[in-house]
Amino acid sequence: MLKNYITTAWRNMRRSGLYAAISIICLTLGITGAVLVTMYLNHELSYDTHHKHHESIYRMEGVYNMAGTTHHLAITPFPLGIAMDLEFSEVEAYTRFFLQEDVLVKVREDQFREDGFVYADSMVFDVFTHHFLHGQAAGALSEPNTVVLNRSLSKKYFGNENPVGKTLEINQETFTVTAVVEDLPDNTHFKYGGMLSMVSGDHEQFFSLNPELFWNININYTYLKLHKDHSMESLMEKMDAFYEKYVNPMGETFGASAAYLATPLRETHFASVQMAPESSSRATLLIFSVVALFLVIIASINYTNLSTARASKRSREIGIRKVSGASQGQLLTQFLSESILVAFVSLVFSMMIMEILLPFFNSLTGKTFSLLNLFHGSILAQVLLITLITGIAAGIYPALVLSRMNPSLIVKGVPATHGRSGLLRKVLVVFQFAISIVLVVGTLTVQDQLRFLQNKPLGFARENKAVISLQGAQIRQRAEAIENSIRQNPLVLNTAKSFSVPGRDHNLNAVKVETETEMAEGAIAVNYIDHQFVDMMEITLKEGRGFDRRMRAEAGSAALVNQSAVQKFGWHENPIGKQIQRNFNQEGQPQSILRVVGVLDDFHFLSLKNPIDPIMLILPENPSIYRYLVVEYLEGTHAEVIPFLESVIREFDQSRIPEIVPLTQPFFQEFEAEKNMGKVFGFFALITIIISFMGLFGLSSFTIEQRKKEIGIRKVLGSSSGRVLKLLFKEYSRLILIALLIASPVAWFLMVRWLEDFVYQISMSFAPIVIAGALAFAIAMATVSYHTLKASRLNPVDTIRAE
Amino acid sequence: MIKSVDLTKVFRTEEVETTALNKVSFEIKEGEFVAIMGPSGCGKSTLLNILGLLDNPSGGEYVFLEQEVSNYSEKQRANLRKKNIGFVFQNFNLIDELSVFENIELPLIYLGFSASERKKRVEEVLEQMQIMHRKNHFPLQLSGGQQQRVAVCRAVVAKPHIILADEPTGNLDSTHGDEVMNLLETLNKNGTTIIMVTHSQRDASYAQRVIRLFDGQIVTEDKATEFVLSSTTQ
Repeated sequence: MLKNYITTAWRNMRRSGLYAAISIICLTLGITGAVLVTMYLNHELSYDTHHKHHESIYRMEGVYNMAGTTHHLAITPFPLGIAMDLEFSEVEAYTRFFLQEDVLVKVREDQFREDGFVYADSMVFDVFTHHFLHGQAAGALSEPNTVVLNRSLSKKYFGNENPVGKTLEINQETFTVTAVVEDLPDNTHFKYGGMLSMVSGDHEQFFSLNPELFWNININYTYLKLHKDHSMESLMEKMDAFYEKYVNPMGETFGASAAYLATPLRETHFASVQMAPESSSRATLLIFSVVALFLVIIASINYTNLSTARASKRSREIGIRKVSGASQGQLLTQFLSESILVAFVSLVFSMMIMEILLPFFNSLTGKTFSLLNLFHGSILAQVLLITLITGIAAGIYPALVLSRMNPSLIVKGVPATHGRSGLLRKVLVVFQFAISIVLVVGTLTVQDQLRFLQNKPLGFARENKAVISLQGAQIRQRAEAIENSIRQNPLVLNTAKSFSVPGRDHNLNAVKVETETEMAEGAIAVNYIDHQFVDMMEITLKEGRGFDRRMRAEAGSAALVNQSAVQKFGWHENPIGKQIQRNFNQEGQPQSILRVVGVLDDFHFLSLKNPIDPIMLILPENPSIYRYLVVEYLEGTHAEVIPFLESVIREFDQSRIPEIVPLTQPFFQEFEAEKNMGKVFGFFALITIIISFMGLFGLSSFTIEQRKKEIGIRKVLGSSSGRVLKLLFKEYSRLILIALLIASPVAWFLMVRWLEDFVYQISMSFAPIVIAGALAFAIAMATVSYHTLKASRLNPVDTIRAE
Repeated sequence: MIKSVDLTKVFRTEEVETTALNKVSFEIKEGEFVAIMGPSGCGKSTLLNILGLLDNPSGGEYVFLEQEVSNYSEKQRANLRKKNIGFVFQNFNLIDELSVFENIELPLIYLGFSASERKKRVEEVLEQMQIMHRKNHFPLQLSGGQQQRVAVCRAVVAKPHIILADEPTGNLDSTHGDEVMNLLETLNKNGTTIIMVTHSQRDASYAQRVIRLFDGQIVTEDKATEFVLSSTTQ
């Protein structure tokens, strides 16, 4: 029987050419979207599950409260792991990863700059699962100056040799390779390439339990593995005594408190925490899933629409089958197996399309998916299930309609009438267009918002400036000499040195500030700058004065603050001369006292994701603190200036690869996720528009085919082609208008919610809705007019006779 | 075999109510060849649909093979239909997407015959009807007469008790029409009950008796020897 169904389905598909093609193309697009998202979801939800003990591993995170400001950080102080291991019997093992950025590796004559190195405790292999290619876990990181490399680094440094026992130089220290492990898979939240033994170098601070170190937070991540049958909840209940012993006494001296949280390893990928190595958001997953679901739905709608519209074409077959003894159930099965067949044919096509789309999808998601991923684990089963469900969803309604037809009417050649399914088709077209409109509005709004952020005035002059990283103590001490060399170039207009630059991390100081009644606790960001910095960056001075070259005593004692600081500390009357105390010792005495000499206009010293916080700019007492040199050059000379700057840096330090980037780079980089989201929106919007367009194309072609006689009669009675066109336009315009009315408030609501996440946001306007609506109208009208004109050009005599 | 008592069929639309059959009563015995005649719109096809279990009557009784079926569900009717009734239509009603062989085997599929049994039975009737050479052709590749022969093959392949023929020669020229009528006559002689709706006096002459309908009622019967006419007018 199934053979008979498939034969009929296949021959029907071939006979109905255009309609079958439309159904298959749309289902192919829908299934492609769904399969891509399935791959993505599987990947995202499988993070860190390759570690054997992943269920008992936790990442420790710190929540710091300083002067009313709370920071939730994924990085932790060095002693946390040791202390918790010491205090709690639940802890079986711990390891810390002290991240080393921009490491210089020398192997024989070759030099490499690496970001993927960490200092790790020797217990790392008890906590995390690594597959050893050479060497073994036991003792691999127990000795000073030992290193474990991953496969990629091993190959990069030593080719195919076994590197165990060989040495390499890392940041001018010699390390011996003790083992090589397999590369961590892509679905690992923290990817490191080389592990240096924690007992190396200047390691006293790594193993000290000095309470001061609990407040000295480096880029150090702490992971705990608990004994089986112990829960983290019960451990966390005992933390109060831990805080009292290690954390609180020191914190109280400067009015700060800290608490530690434990995130299960599998959750770390989704934890929204500052300084996390890599994280994703569940919201993104949800958006992806919803959009994919919509794609499948609207693709299925086309199948449903075209099948019910064409029901009358199949009605004779149904009648014959019924008089031949087919039950309703058998016909239902027949039509469902037909739609499932179409879905599986579409799946085959979607595999081909995916092969083309995957590079683009990978660039959007930053992943490295290939078609082979489909055959891993349960993904194939999920994909087949999705296809089956799509087939059933697309076919169920037509199957019900068709199988319920009354055979007595059909066999006499009376065409089946579908009053209700005609309405349903309209509803489905409205639904399709509504979704397309929502996605188009989404795409346009995301683009508007990103454009707004990119063009937002930052409060400083950002153009024609390059930032040179001053790497290493040696080069920092020679900053002035480098600066002088650079200034020799006539293309260079100005230079300035600073500890941090806008868009990058700034230190936060716990301070006491002078108010009318007392010294109040507060927190303020700090940047150390030279005399040129404020002028060169064109930051506006609102009140007071800038730093004075003639007053040497200003270093470490004068501060420029921004307006946010003035507001936060309540210095509205006269901020100039106000005192700021900082660097408190264990007795709570300030080691540094500053006085405000000038107030600057607010400028975006952090990312545009943050509001502008208080900041103070200080001339440092020690000029070698500067980490950046900012160079302003003549407009249009970027291409010439950068190689020049590189050559100057090389003159001063040949051991490093110069790092020179435009000042604006961090601001452009930080919205990558949103940009990708915009691209994803755009991509899916395009697919939904194509699907909706094709659905409408098929449907209107069919409707007009059915109305050829009507068009013929109208023409015989004197109507022009134009009037016939108008008649049909009216019908479809109504549907698009309803879709627009439904979609607009939904899109409005969703985008307003999305914009709320931005500190700086555009206000939602009607423009995207108008554009999306116009686009929908244009597409619908183009489709309808194509068919109508074709039909209305026919000789009415033929169309009437044909009926 | 078939007995109808006061069989009534009313079609209702939102505004109009049409009585297609008005208290029609008659009986047909096994092995009979009965023609139903009457002008267009007199209710012939409606009666045939009810007799063929394609539709339920609005009122009255319909006894088919000693079962009162007038209130049967679609499923029950389908079940009874597929085992006992074969249909032949004026417009042949073959499925264009299926070959001659596939069209003929359709009733056997729904009766759950195995593939080998189906092949045997289909080839038997193809031989009988002398269209074996066309078995892999599609309906649109055949002449009208050939198509109707295929339709007759399909109607008889499951060896039904009754064949219902609705204007079986309506779309055929007289030569092909006679061919089909001879086929039906042969089947009847071999024991199959045949009920045929027709406009053609010539076709009706093949039948043993004729029921004439007018405005949904039986007005007369020819060659009536064994059956009782009971038509009530209001």
